Amino acid sequence: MTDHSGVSFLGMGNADADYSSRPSSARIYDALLGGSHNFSADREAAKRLLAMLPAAGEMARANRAFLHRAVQFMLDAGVRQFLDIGSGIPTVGNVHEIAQSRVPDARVVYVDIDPVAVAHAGEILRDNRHATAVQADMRFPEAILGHPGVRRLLDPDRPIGLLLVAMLHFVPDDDAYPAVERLVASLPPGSYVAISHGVSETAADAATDGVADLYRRTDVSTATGRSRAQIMRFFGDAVLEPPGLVWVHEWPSGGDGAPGDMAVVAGVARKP
Amino acid sequence: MTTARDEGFPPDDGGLTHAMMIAALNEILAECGYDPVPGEAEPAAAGGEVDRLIEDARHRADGIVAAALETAVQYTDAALEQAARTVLSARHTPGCLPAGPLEPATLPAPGAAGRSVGDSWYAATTAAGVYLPMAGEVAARTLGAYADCLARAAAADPPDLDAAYRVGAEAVALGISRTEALPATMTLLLDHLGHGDTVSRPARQVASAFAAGFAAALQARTLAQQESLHRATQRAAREFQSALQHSEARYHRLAYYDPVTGLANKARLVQRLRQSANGDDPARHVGLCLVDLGGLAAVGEQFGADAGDHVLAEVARRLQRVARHPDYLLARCGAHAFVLLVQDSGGLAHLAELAERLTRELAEPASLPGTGLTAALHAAVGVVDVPTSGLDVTRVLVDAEIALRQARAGTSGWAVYDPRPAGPRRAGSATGVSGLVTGPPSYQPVVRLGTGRVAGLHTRMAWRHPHLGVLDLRRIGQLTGDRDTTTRLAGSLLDQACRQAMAWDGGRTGPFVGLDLPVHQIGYPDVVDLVRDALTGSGLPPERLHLHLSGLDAVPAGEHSQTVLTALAALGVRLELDDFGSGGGSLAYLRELPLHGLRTPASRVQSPACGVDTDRELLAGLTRVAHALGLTLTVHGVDDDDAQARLAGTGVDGAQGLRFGPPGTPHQVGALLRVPALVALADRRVAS
Ligand SMILES: C[S@@+](CC[C@H](N)C(=O)[O-])C[C@H]1O[C@@H](n2cnc3c(N)ncnc32)[C@H](O)[C@@H]1O
Repeated sequence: MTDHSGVSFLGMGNADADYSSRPSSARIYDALLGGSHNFSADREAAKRLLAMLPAAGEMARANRAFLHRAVQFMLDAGVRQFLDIGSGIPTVGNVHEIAQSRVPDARVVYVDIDPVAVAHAGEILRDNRHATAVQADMRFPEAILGHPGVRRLLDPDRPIGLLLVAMLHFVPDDDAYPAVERLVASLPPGSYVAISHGVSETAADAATDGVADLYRRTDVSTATGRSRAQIMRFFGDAVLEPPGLVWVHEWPSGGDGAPGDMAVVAGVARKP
Repeated sequence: MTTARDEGFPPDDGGLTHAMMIAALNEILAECGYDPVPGEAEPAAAGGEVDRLIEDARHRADGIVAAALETAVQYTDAALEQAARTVLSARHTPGCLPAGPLEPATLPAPGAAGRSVGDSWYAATTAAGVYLPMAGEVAARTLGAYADCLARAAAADPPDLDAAYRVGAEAVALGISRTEALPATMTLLLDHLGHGDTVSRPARQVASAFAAGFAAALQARTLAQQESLHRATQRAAREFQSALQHSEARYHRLAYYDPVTGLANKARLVQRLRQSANGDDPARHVGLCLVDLGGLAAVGEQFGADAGDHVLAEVARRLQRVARHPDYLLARCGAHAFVLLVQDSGGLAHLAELAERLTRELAEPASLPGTGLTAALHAAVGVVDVPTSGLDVTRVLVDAEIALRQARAGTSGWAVYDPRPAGPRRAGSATGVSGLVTGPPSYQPVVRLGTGRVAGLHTRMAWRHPHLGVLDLRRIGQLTGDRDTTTRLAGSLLDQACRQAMAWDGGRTGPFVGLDLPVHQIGYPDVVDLVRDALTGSGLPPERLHLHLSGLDAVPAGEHSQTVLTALAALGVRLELDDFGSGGGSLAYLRELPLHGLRTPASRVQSPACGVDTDRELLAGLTRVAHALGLTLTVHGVDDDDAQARLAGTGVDGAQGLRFGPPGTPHQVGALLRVPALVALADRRVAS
């Protein structure tokens, strides 16, 4: 019964008009990737994160590269529409750029809880008829599925690539499992789900408390790793593509299974 | 090759440039409706011919552009701009530079033995923490092509510094966007351009030009990204504001109208009364008929809420027959009470006549749908007539209620408020409240919806008055205006609640206890002392005490309320605004008050007319607004499945109501706190 105070009702703090004073996980991530879509509060947070977890930058890049490969993989499999949830600040190698360079009318819907990230994506996509950005909290999947932008762009009868890349570790269990279950249930057969996720039980564990503490001060909830078994549960009935759930840099080509400094695992599954 | 020189593009790879020039010109010509320039000429074989064609085409293009400027109407800005862009890019891209990342198929074979320069360059940038959004092989080959381009620039006479500069910019565009990548890149390029240990002057010049291009592009990129971030931030803030206004408008519609009868509600009534109070004609009076239906509670109990709503709608129709006048406002202002406000009262005779008519309209019983039965309404009407100058809204409503009690005691069905003091019926109202009997406090669970656990308890205490019936603290304050009594009773309520909370759990994370505190009636700084004393006396961690503000306390009354609320918040207690959305004002003022949460009654966000989905959407919107302001949202009065269903998926943080547990004794609550899973189960069922 640790939940009584009512004080922890919210994982989200004051997203009031002054967005720049408080770091956001989307902008911290952009800073890690070397972007300049960030404020000094974000860079400060990224610096502290790197001090605690020196491989954070490498992980961000490996994660971004996984996103790239997963989208290519889905395109190869014939997927022409993507739902990228927790898409973050549009930075280098966005899903619509990858997809539309191969299939010009590929559909992409970006969803993020961060209003600045979404406003920014909206700006970039203004002239793109086949892509849009939606502000929503993945904990309320109905709001995403019922959103006019999602309904306009995504055909519910054709396979969809659902991307949950480096975002589920920001969502607490109570909300994450039912929400992902609902989202996956809404996908037609032949759809794919890509997940990358911070994993507990690794070298990075030692830094966990500090990292959790850092994210607590951002505008989203704390980042917490899950065990591989817990991460597997997100895929539900979807069938993992080879090589399964592996270190993020080893997907899909495999490798020696050595984590290196990685604390992120990834996998792609197909809904039968 | 006489025309191209002065434009500054590389002289030694004219083929590609010419082809691109022709394409660009043809695009312009096509856009303007002219014949294309023949482009199939082979430049190597017929360079002079091509140059002539270009020269000619240029002339025509210039003429066209000039004509376009003259008759600007014919050409849109966009077309001209695009034409300009096409020409510019055709002029500026060094011929050796790939137009983008090189796909493996279009590539020359990699260098002979060992690692190519592209591979080494790619490895160096990766080591410097650069993420390139493409396969490693593609990146390496593209970088290899850049290196070759630089080598050619160095070999040209004079060295083509322009091209080198552009390769530097191109490297940034490709994604090499960190200064950390520059040292390794420069070392590698100088090795590539030099011969062993000697680096020729042209090679150094080319390397420098590359660095300059790199730095300039990096700076431009950084500034552009910062600028677009700021724009996005502003836009997000704007969108937040408009979302706020949007839900405000929708909320106010609900906030001012009763969904069951379509009449105004109490908030609107109060608003109108306030407007009257601020009127400029001191001679004017307002009149008020408070209509109460004694029979309605029984209808609800026996035949259900729907039958109750049906009767309410029927009553509203009958009342409207009497109230059809632009000067009258008919409002529903309680579960079974209505008010007819007469904004320009003709005095007591006028009001008495109205009260008579109202009573007559409601004398007939109402039919109950689908049963063939009828229900007696047992209506009573309390009447007040007051001058608008110095009108005290709360007082008027209380007076009407007192008149209503007199009406119930009499026989005619209506009574007029008698402002003279004394008289046995009004014993308690003007003097202090003697004879108050304190009832036992009750505690009702407030459940956190995410987990279904009991987050805290809302405590209420009631006092029985010999004439006025059961009263809560706020009513006692309103009826008596006796600050000392209110303060004394509030103190004992606070003490008791804090001690009880400590008895359940002495830790920081124990359940909170929430109570309704009439801050203004107690006054500053007394109220702060009361709260501080209760906290120190009991040892309760301050954040476990939640104070609910409503009525006057919830209105941003300027600096004074700021001072009081800030002082309270400084004690560490949490302030929640109750009855969120009733009454005027904009939601934006919430930002200025030191609040932690909002509370709203389920009935306010429920409109049978619109259906569950609309209600849910509204609640979800309100929750987003609350969260964006950093506040929690708790819905209370969630008494049935219907009300609970409206919470699912809205993000509302907490809920309170019969559906989540009735008010209980300290002992019952103690037991409840030991079995949180039960409540959790109840919640899961609905959420799924
Ligand atoms: C580390 S970034 C990942 C960006 C991108 N998916 C990638 O892998 O390159 C995590 C993103 O998840 C978003 N996020 C966190 N919680 C969320 C929620 N409940 N709903 C939607 N987005 C959320 C954050 O705003 C942030 O932009």
